[in-house]
Amino acid sequence: MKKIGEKYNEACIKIFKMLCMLSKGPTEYKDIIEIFTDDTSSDSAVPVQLNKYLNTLKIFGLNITKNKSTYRLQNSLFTLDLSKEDLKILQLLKSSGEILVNSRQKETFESLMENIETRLSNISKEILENTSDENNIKRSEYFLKYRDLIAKCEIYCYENQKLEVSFLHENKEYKVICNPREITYINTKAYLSVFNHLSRQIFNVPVDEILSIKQMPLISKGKEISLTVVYKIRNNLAKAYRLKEWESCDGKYDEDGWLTIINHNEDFDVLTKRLMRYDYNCKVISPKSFKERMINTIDETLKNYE
Amino acid sequence: MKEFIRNNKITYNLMSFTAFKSLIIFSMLLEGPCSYDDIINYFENHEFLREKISIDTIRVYINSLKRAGCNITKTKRVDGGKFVLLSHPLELTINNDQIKIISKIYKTISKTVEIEELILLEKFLRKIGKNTKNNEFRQTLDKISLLSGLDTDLLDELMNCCKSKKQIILKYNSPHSGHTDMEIICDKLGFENGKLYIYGTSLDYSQAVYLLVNRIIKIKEINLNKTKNIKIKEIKVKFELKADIQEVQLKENEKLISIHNNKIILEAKSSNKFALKQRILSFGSQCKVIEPEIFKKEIISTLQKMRAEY
Repeated sequence: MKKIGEKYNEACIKIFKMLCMLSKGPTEYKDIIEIFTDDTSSDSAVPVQLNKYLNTLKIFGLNITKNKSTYRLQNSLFTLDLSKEDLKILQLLKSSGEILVNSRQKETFESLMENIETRLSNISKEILENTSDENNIKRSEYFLKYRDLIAKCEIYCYENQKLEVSFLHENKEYKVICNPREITYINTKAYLSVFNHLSRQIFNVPVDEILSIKQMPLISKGKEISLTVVYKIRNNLAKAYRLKEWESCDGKYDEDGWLTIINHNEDFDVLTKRLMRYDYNCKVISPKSFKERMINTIDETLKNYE
Repeated sequence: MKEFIRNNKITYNLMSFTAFKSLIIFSMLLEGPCSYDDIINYFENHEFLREKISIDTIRVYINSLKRAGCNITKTKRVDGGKFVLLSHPLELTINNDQIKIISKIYKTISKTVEIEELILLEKFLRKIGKNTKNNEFRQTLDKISLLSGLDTDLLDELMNCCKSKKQIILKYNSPHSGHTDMEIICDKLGFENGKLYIYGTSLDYSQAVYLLVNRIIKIKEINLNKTKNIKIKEIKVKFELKADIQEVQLKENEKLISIHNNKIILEAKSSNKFALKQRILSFGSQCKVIEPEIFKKEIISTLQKMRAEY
């Protein structure tokens, strides 16, 4: 005879297996039925077993709907209490899923949103139902104005074909043949980040300055080895500095109080402007070309005062 | 259960009573820690069950829940000998693909909503993070969040102070002098170079200040008697910019004086010389300070020191 510590109820295991499956999202009949196939003598008993457990869940208060051969859990035992503000954010996230161009990504994201909604407590569900579109969070006018273009650029990045981008800069039209990378945001503006093999540089083209984009039939295969910039900072700047996502630092100060920062993939124009702001508390170490560019910017600025 | 009794569509022999009872124990543990007595009493007083359940039977149910993936511990007898549900398989799971997508969407949203809403987004994601087992989600959030490491309650307080332009005393961790008190009249919260600042007027220095929010320890005091007639020493800087006006995002304190042959003359007014200097330097060779002479000399001197570093 088994000791109490070793005994368990098969029914408990089965109901939890079933709940786990349903909690992960819509579940196919063929998958759910497998839970009951081991211990039944005949195939006809399996659907009876399934119904028995579905009834148990329903009696317990869990609402399960069936559409063709798919079961869907409408509420959960484990609930999330989300406030009105939280639910506004949930709506905002759901609407932001529009920017996802890859259908697999979209499905993965929607399944997460569905998982959260399934777990909402009754109070939260009620609040959600009574939240009108008017109460939803509005995105900036800039974003709404360029949303379609941003979505188009997202598609270009996903398709990863070479691009010829024409854009305006200081009233002049420029063209660059490049590999699309991603959409980045600096302050509140969106940029199409591209890699140019010729200069081995990343360029952030402001979305609102793009005149045209021509997609070429070539898939971008070339390896993007862009230049890494190493610079040093000191004093209060070093103390308060927050590393960017694309930067790294070992946190050690040298004997003169300088902290070394390694920067990858930042648009050189943006980086130059940023490092100029840091005045003599910042010094570029490498590469030579960027260091010279920095020196040249300082010299050219000084010339303005001659 | 009520529904079952009311519509009478399902009978006991068409449901698993054992599974039903395990769900009851599980939901009791979800509510909070339970002792044997709590469970026995619940079953005895249950509207429809009215059943005496033995300690051994409860133990079998607990074993079964553990086997089903629940992590349950029991407190010592002196602490009430209660079963505690530490984790369970019905928790919200977020896989790594979903984390990547959330991260991508966060980056878009965070730059296109107001700070107040960004705080709400942070609170929401932190709440979701608490309800999921995946540490990767919390780590990614720490990495990408613009408000990472900031206390959202403090942010709410600061936001409210800014809305009603309150005069407050802050406990601030200054890089210069360590922990210090600073009295400011709050104006707004804003991002500059990826970092969150509170903008306002310093009563200590009689000038506009912007303080890094991650250095604010707490709001020490809200001064109800707002100081009036603060004499702020402002400087006015006129500078020339070689740029297309469409491409220049003017700041609140800047105004356009004239445009001539792709050269723009701007005037900036501020009591914060440091901020003005940073702004001027960021334009690089596109920019030349016209006046005042003393500020122009300071810019030249800074540029010379920068050059000397090479």
